[in-house]
Amino acid sequence: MLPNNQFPSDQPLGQGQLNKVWDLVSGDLRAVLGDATFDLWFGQSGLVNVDENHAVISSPGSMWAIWIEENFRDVLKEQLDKYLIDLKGFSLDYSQSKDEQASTESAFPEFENQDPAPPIESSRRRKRKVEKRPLSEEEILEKGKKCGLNEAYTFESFVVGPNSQLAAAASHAAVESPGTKYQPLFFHSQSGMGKTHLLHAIGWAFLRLRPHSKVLYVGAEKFANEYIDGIRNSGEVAFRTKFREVDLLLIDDVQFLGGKSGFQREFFHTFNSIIDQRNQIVIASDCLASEISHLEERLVSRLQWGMTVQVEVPDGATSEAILRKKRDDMNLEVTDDIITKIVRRVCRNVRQLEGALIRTAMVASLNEGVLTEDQLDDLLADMVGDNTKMLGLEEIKRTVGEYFGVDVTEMESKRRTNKITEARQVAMYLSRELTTHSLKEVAGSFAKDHASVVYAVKATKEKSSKSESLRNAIELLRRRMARDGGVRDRQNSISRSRHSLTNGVSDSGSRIDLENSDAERDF
Amino acid sequence: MKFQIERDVFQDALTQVQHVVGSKTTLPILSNVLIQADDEGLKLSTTNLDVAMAVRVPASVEEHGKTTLPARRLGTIVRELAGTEVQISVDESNTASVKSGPSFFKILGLSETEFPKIGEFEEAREFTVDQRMLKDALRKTAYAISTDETRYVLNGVNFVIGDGNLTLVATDGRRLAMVEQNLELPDGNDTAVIIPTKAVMELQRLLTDEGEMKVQLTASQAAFTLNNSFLVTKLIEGNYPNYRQVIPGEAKYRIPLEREVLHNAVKRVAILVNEKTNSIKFTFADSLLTISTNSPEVGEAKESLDIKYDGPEMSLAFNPEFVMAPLRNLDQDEVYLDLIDESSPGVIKIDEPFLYVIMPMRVTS
Repeated sequence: MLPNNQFPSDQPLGQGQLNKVWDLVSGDLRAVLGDATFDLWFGQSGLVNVDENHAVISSPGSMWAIWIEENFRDVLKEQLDKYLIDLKGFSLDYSQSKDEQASTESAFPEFENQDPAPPIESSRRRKRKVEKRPLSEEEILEKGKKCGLNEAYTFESFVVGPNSQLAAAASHAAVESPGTKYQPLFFHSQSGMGKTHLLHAIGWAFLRLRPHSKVLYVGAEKFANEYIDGIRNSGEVAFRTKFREVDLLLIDDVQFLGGKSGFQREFFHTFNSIIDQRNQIVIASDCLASEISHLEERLVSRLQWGMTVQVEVPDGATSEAILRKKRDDMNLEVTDDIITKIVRRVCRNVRQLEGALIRTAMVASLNEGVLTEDQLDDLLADMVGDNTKMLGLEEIKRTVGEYFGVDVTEMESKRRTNKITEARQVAMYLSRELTTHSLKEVAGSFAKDHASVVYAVKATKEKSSKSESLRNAIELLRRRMARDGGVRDRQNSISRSRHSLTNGVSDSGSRIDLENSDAERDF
Repeated sequence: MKFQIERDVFQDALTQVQHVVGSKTTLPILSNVLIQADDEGLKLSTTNLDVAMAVRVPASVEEHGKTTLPARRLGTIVRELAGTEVQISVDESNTASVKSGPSFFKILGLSETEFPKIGEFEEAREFTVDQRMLKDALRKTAYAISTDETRYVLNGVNFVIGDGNLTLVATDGRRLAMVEQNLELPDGNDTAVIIPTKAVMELQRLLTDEGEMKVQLTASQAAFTLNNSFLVTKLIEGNYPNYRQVIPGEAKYRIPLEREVLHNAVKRVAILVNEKTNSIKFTFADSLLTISTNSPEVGEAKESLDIKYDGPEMSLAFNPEFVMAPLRNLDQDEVYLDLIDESSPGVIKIDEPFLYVIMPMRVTS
């Protein structure tokens, strides 16, 4: 039970409560700032909304809002925090203000000898009202395809299992109340888990609910290419209209923007523009925003702003359900028994599972629906193959080098600047941790002797026990390599990983546990 | 393509266009300068996709042509050359041979077809302004531009044209600088555009004290033609917030101050400013202004100025840099400080249409 002058900020407050909080806050602000300053800057303000750990304060004008934020942000937040529990931030709203007309009237009447002209018409864009004619099924299909949506990917064709329950629920919520609850909605998972499917499904459901809205699905690479085309052919306005003036923007594979600062900036502005207009943005990436390499800090923080959901690896039952659904949709002649066998063999990557199903169905139809275990093994051999892929030393060096901004050749050289030495030691440490290569092999690959490796491992352990940032860096690298290094023996590691945390024996094992804990935290 | 050009002329032109070449670009072509040789001489162009710059220079052209060469590399070579003349010939694979006196260089370029086209300005509204007037107006406002990229509409100077005036405004949320100049334009030219910081900086470099400049505006771009140069910039999209909201009402006290004297006094006191609070105190008492700073960790500084003031004693704290910036960029000997009370923003004015609003800082005692 909260004290009676404190209110939760994660749910909407009633008007009475809002007034009460503002009374308390403004009383304190007045005491801190003095009457004159308070009356000048906050005399016309009020608390208009509290929800989702965010407060909205009204302000008499746009420039007013900027000056209040610049000059009083800290003191205002401090006072709000006293009465609103878990408040994350606040913003100023000037949409109710009457003082927004741009005016050409001179600000220097003493230098003016003619009468001031009436203010020119407001240039603020108002949303056009579209007539509400319901669209036919064909028209919706037609329109959806134009928006870049694939008709095969809908909520109906998406099998929800424990792995994707949260993701599906968040998707539905984004469709029902866009621009408010989960803004942005950010999906991440390794590839082939159904992120793209969910993006398309959100698009379709959104269109069916609001047939006249503008929806756009685009991969980050296409976004970048269109941006370049826009610049080359001076079509930036068209580009911006296309991307910024949509009601729902679905961006896939956003990790593509990593390291491309020009596109990041454009994306940043697109993102802000959509958020400003309170339209919905949904993003999919094959890793967490903070893990996308060379992504500007401000973009990372924006991507983490709303709801981050991981689409996890489906468990056996879900995988079977997915394949049965696929079989029925495609009218394939495969028995449930064979599906169970496929799932047992192929790792839980939905895309691979589906490939395996189609392949099996073809062969099975030739054999009148019967397949022996051996035949199945042969058939799916190459899909099981990459489960045993071993992480190489070169890959470790490359990944570590990228992270520290050091060339692999520098790491192999005799140079000993702090940065290079640190990168080299971490790479040696990880080489020992993640591979079975001997001390001598590791030393050889760095052109050092084995004592250096022993020292590097020891030094890194010591340093990371003291430095949280180094510990985090190593954990991040571990996860990156686990992702790049292929899906190693995943089926076993899943059952095992529920228990073991980071004992470093199997990187994919520790990785999965970490991601689970992430998902729980996000939830 | 083949031409010969005076080294100094070439170097000046390259230096000028190099300012818009970014050091880290996503597209290699953006590190290059586009060179077009025709009967009129050379045209050098660069762009970073937000701003594009072109400059014309005289040269004796033997063979027309177009190519692009790495701007910085070419600039460095030309700067270091010993000869007074430079001969450049470029073959079909965009390889340039640079000869000057005893020196010879071969540098690899890229095809001009890859170079981004600069937008067309056919449907643009067009007018001319006096270079000196604009240069002066930009100098008086540009320093107040916000560098906070999350407020992108403030990352530039707002140009408002209307009612016989050109008004320039820049603000970062703690101070606001504004200039108004007469600009008579035909009807229907009223508009407001935001010119981004980079273009403002380049314009300031290009503007001279004589002659006029042609301005062309479209919905998304602005182009400036002056002397032998051409500058195109994207405009910042969005509406500039209504700056009138933060210009205080009528002042109660107007205090005339000698600009130079005030500037020097603030500069000296600022030496001991506490880095955390970054504020110095202005105390106005009977005919005396005391500017001071005092912090237990650093020490104490105090300057006294005789002023014309007969109001009640008032103390206001300001960020010293915010006080010095306009003083540095004005030429007038006398400035006025308009005050209402201890908590309202102060305003610096001169005998021309200029104002600078500065927010007092809270003094936590």
